[in-house]
Amino acid sequence: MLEISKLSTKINDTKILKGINLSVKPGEIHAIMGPNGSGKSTLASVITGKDGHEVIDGNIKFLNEEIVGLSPEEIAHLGIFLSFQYPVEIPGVSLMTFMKACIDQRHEKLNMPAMPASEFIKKMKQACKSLNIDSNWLSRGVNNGFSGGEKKRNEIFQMLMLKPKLAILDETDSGLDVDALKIVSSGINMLRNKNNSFIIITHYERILNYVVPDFVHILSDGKIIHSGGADLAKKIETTGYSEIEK
Amino acid sequence: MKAIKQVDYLFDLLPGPKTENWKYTNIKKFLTKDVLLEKNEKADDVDGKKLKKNIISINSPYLILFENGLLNKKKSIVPSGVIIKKIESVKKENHSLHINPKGSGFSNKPKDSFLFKNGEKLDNLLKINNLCNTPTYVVEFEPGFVCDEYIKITSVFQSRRSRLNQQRILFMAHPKSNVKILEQNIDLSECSNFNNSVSEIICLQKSCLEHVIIDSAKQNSVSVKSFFVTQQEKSHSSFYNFSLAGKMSRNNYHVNLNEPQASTNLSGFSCIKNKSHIDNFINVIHSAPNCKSSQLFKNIYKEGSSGVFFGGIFVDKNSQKTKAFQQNNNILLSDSSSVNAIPKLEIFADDVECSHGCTIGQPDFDAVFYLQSRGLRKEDAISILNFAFLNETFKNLSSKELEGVVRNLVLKQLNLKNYS
Repeated sequence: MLEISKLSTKINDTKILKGINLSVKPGEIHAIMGPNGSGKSTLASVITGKDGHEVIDGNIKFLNEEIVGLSPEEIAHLGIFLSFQYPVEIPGVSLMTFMKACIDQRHEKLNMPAMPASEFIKKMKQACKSLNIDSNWLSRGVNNGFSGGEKKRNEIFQMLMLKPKLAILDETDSGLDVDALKIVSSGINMLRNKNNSFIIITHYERILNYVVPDFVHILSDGKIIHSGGADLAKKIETTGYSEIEK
Repeated sequence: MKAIKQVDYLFDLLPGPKTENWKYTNIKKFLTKDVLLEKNEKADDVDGKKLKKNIISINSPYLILFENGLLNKKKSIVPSGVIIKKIESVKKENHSLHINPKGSGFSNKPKDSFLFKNGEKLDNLLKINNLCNTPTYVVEFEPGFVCDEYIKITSVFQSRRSRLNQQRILFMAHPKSNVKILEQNIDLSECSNFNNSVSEIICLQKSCLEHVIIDSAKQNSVSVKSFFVTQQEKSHSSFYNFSLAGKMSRNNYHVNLNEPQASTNLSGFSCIKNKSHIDNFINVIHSAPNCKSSQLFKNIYKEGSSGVFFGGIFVDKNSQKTKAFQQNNNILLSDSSSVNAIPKLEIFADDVECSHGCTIGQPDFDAVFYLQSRGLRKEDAISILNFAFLNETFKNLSSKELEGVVRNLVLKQLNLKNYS
């Protein structure tokens, strides 16, 4: 599904990613862990087409299509979703209006018929129910006045609505209490199937107790220095990154 | 010859770049001298269809219609408790306004105004309005007057030849009255006029006034609107100024909180393009203790448009326990757009809470990326964020209906019709 080979990037003259290789197949969950400043969020931004990152070597293929150079919305339309570490507040634009616009533009771009209003509302209600979200959220401004935990839950809500093929979750677990973490994890597990993939970027093992990854990669100084199974996350929790970096 | 002499005199009175309060708006650049040659006349037949197209439609039967500064009684509908009188125009030899030192009890005869005795020094546009025998109307709201619906005050200007149109209104909100005004100035002329209107607003004890101006109609004219407001004890005023179009507009608000526990909120936005220029000049004077004021102005400039925000707060030495806040944020969307922001705080009392903040910048591209990552086009993402940026300035309007009207105007201006 996603093939990253020899990916190197820079911002201005500073090299950030230094030859990343990563292969994500349908149905797989990959966790990317690493110390602060190792390039985890940069990797997520580069995959999803954020301006300001210059790819100096390598490529990123999604469903066999080169996506380096595509705009963020084109990448989103192909089916990649990025859950943000710090979601943006949009006062005055209701979540319902926002989601409808996102889905409409995607359908338009993919030459699909517009989603009927009844189906859209049904999907919204289902997503609300599964994440234990009060339906009055739908008429509130997107993330406006939300707590940190509510914003993260809202990210998962949007993910369920947009049903991506590949979801990249950038520190979605940070700032969540145990109950919220369980709800968010159940949302991820709900979308999980043999056709969808996830990349979970995290500092901590705790979300991986609820969403068990197939692979764990350790990123350090812009390179993947170690890959392993779910046990690797547990090892890091006890030894820290410094042991692995040695 | 006399007329030409007067035109020269009036033109010389217009502020230039060396006039401190007009430093960043050169009004003479937008006007030709001959505009001043012809003055208020009865409006040529007003094009009803064109007017209807431009007028803000809200669910209120009340309308006070002015045509080229003259009241059209036939077409005006006022609620009971509102009295409109025409009074003697201000004479050339006495340039003062109509109010007495306390802001109460206007008179048919001009008197020196304690509050605005320096009004003409502040602004020559007031002097021009005073000089030209402008017909003056007093709109009084009786004690205890309450009306949940907005009274629309629509000023229509229409002429075949460019001219100087002046309007003068004195609003008097009597004690415990509760007034909501929606003001709109519409110039239907093909030619370029100079519309100079002056409003004095007096809020007596415990009165409450909401005054909204929406400039959304395309026009070729230059417009200057000046509000001189004085507030008595425990009165409250809210002023909203929303500018979406206009060749050159200047909005002057001089608000004096004259007695204890008076309060005022001034909010607004300019969301303009096509080389429009909007200058908002706000000056709040705290003349008594325990008064509150807040100013919130947000502006978006596109396609070579430009603007000015002057935010003045003056706290007199006896005005202890004052709370005064000011915020001005600006976004420039094109290289050819510009804004000059001038916060000016003069505080002579020591037990006060005052703050101000001002920013000028571009869209937050991290936020734009967030919206794009959900599948929205970049231009839509920027427009949605701009809408959210302006939202704060109109979300507190007392009427949900009017809030919806403003919201739709902004969405239209930002090419976001599908988001209404």
